[in-house]
Amino acid sequence: MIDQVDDAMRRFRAEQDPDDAAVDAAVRRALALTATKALVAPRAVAPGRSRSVALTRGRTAILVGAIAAVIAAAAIGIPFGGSRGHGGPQTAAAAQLEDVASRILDQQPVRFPSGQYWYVRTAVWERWVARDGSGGGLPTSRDTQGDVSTAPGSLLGSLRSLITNPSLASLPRDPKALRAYLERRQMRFPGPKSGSGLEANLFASLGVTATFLPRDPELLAALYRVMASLPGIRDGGAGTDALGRTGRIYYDVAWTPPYRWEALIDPRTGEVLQTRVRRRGKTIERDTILETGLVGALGDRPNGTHVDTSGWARH
Amino acid sequence: MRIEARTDAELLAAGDEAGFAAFVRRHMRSVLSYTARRVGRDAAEDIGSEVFLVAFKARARFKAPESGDARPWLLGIATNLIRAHARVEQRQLCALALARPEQSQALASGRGDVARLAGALAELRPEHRDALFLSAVAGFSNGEIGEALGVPVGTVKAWLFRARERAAAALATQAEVER
Repeated sequence: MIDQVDDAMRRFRAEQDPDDAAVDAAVRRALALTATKALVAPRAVAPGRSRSVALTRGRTAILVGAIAAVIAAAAIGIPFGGSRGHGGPQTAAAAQLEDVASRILDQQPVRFPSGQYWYVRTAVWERWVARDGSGGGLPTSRDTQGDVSTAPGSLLGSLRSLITNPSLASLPRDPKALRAYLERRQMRFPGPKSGSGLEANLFASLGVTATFLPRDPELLAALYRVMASLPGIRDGGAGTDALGRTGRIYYDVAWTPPYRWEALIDPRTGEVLQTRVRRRGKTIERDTILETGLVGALGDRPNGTHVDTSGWARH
Repeated sequence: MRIEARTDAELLAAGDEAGFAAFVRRHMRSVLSYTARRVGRDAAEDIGSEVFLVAFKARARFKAPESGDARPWLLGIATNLIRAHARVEQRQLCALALARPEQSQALASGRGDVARLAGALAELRPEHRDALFLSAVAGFSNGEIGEALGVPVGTVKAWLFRARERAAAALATQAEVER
């Protein structure tokens, strides 16, 4: 009978065992939680600095998951939720984002010199993206374990499908032209080519660009103005990121239920502080950007240190 | 030395992000599996992260056992966190126990053990249930269970004996009733 008990116990709720994807997601969550609550909580991040160090959040998995969710949903025809509008700043969120864009443009526009790199560090990876396609023009990344991570690769693969590095330098700064450009890019992306499915993909590409890719104030303002023009854009209220910084949460109702991708944006600077994916109201992924900034060369970090990236993945 | 080749103690002692990331990757599946079997996937997701946060903060207190395996320590942390979800576990066990036979059988790959076992587990004392899960699900030896729960091996033996005895009796009784 003892053997019968042990045998039954070994089978008990075996269907609850996590699959590989669940384990990977749990690892990322645990590292992010540890990074934000134990590793980097004391780190001071200067608020209100548009370029130096202070973006927040970026997480590979979030965006990979988020983008994948949209793509997957679109591919299998899951209906999208949310009411449809017809463009323009019709909602509180749209008006707020227009204000954010105006504030960004009130700041001194800065053009990044050619050859410099945009650096982003999150709890699980760091990477450099050439500003204008020079120096190879491809992002170099690694996870914090020091190995080539498939997650950043997936993310960057998704990004490459959305916006290539060379195109970053020449992205239109006019919102209408930018939207048209992004929509044309989405035509090369799997999924719906119109309606809310297209909007969901567009929202993802706007969020990815604003959060992770090099952009000057003009481009960031244009990204938010396109975001404001999306019929499904909504204000999710005030929010606080894992480092205690406050901002407002924005999301798009075109996002595939039960998933929702949200961006926490500092309304004073326009910086994305944190993004997260929620499922039925519960956060399943969350990324806080720990550090961003312009650096002079591949491997340079904003804090002045340098790392040899020769063995790292190039995507 | 490649980071994957380092022992758990070495990874924790390094105190850096890379070492800790390797440590998390090495053990997350075990932690999640054990936790999910007890409180379900949703709660396990939260507990899984918390386990490693606690582990990171307490890494200086980690004393490697002879095996060098940190799993008993981690699942001990998980067990403590699960106790904070005791009502969740109890509610799930009761729900499983009350599940209709065909549902239970489906969950148990064609056998009707789940409902009977859930009913038995719900009636066990928490420490007995802890020991039984660590033994049968995590595959721990009595010594490892003792490390996880912070009790002597003799106590573990006693707990396991009582847990198995009661579970077996409940299974047998309920099986008899169902005949």
